[in-house]
Amino acid sequence: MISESTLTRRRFLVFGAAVGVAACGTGCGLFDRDSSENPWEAVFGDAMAGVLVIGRGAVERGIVPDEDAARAALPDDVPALGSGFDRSFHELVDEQLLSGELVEIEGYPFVPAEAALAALVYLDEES
Amino acid sequence: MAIIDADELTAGTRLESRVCIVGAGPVGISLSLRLAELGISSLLLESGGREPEDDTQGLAAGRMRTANTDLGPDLELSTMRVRMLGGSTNHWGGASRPFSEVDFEPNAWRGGHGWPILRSDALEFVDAAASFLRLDPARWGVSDWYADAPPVEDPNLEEQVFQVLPMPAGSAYHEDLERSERVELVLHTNATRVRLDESGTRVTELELKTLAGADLSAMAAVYVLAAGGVETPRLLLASRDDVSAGVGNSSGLVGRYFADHPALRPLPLVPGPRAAKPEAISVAPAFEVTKVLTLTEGAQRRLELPGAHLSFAEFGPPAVPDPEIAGGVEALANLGSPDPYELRWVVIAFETIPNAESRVTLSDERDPLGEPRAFVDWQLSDDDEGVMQRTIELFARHLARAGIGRLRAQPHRGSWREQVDVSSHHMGTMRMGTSASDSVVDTNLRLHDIENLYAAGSSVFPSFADVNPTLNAIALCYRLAEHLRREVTT
Repeated sequence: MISESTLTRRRFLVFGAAVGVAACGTGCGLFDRDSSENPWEAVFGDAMAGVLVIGRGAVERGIVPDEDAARAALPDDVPALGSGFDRSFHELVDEQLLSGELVEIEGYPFVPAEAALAALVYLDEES
Repeated sequence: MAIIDADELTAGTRLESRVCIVGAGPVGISLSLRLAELGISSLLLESGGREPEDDTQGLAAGRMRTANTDLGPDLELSTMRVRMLGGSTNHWGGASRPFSEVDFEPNAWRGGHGWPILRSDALEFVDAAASFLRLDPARWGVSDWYADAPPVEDPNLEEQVFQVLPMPAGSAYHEDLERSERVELVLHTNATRVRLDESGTRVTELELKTLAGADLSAMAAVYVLAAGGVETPRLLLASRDDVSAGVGNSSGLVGRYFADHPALRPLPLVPGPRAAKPEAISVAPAFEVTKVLTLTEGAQRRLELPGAHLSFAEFGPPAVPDPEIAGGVEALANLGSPDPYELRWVVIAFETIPNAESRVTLSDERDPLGEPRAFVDWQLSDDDEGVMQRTIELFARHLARAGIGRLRAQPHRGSWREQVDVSSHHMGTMRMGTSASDSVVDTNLRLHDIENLYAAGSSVFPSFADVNPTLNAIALCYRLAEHLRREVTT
């Protein structure tokens, strides 16, 4: 703004370890990890709880009603999870973002691929 | 003439001039200097001195209740105003922009009471006002500063620029005041009563007090109250010796329609692929130009929305309001990214809808001069909440589609209005209009009831736009100077 509001001038908090986990980019192949480890937690780390909230919202609001719908909204290679989340997923998200395909979950706008992935994580966790 | 310290005057001294101005903030200073240019002498009364003083600042103490926010029940008014030469320009951010055409319209969605004068009339002297604030009067367009700025790809939104120069008017114009042969600046004097003649329609004098205990008075042909949106109604409401409701308050409107610009505390923005932050342009030392995202005038009319603007903030609050969900958003947005986005913060400021129940009254508490302190009840209505929600949805949709980032479009708890800060832009309490039944001052800023008493400053704004008031208030006071030239020379 542009207001005389008094703001507490502290450095902002980066969202926990989410950035660090996401930053692993091409190196996050799920099956590279110990099979005893929850594969989604390996991907999302401390952001897992938030992703589950978003995924539950997507399912309960009928945006992504079930696993079939989630997989149908994701590229073929993502549901398999064999190749991890490489740059193609990120590019898909950006492409959908710029085309304006938005759904709102928990107050935030998401593109269909993100909603589908979060729903998949949630449904997987629930099963 | 001179700069005088009232503490050096003998008790009982009567000060006299053609025009008497109460308050040496940016409006009072610019008015006195403009009148001097027009050949009119004025007496400029200031409560404080050249430097901040605790005891003087204490005279501005009072409580502000903010219903429907989580700011707490008792905000301290003295933290929002500065009682010293230059007034609140001693602590302002210095952002300026002229009001737009739509800001003057009597739209039903803004309460129906627009400005009784056109923008071209109200802002006839906006260039002079910009020059007073040492801004560039000719460059208010985005393309004037950002040569290659792409258009905003949303029919409801556009970018605008603010010129930002936090000039302290007191020190900047101290020498001009000292040298002027037509301005007599009296420091450390406090107007405590406006006295009327027997008919109750004409001011005869102002009663003044100093913290040292001296009683003084001021006499003039014309009086102008330029003490701010809280202190001006406080003085009139406290002046009950001659009229029981307070001077100029026959319709009970003095102090009503108090407004500020609520600014949402910084909201996290999860950046997208086109997240470049608009860079501020440095024009000169301490003088910057910055871009904001705002509603177009057409969108305001079409969507029936008051003004609002969004800007990027350097820092956020000490804690993310919804860390769990925001962390999930950020993780999804960055999945697979070789170059993860870093969190940004945005601030959104709003125009509020004029509300008669939002008001300044007198409290039972007394200041060291024995005068009743002000009590401010700032109310943000359900309509204001609805405006915030609809506006944020517009901003959030655009930011996401433009690839700039994801902004939460619903409050993470309760309501948006719970999560605002004050901007200390006190407006509306001396509302301008054409009739005493719906306003306090007329189109020339003269009180409807009193033939030689005027109000100047953002207190007279009948609606508030979403931009900082000072530039626009000074433009109006230059217009008042032209009116006073005609009044005092005929």
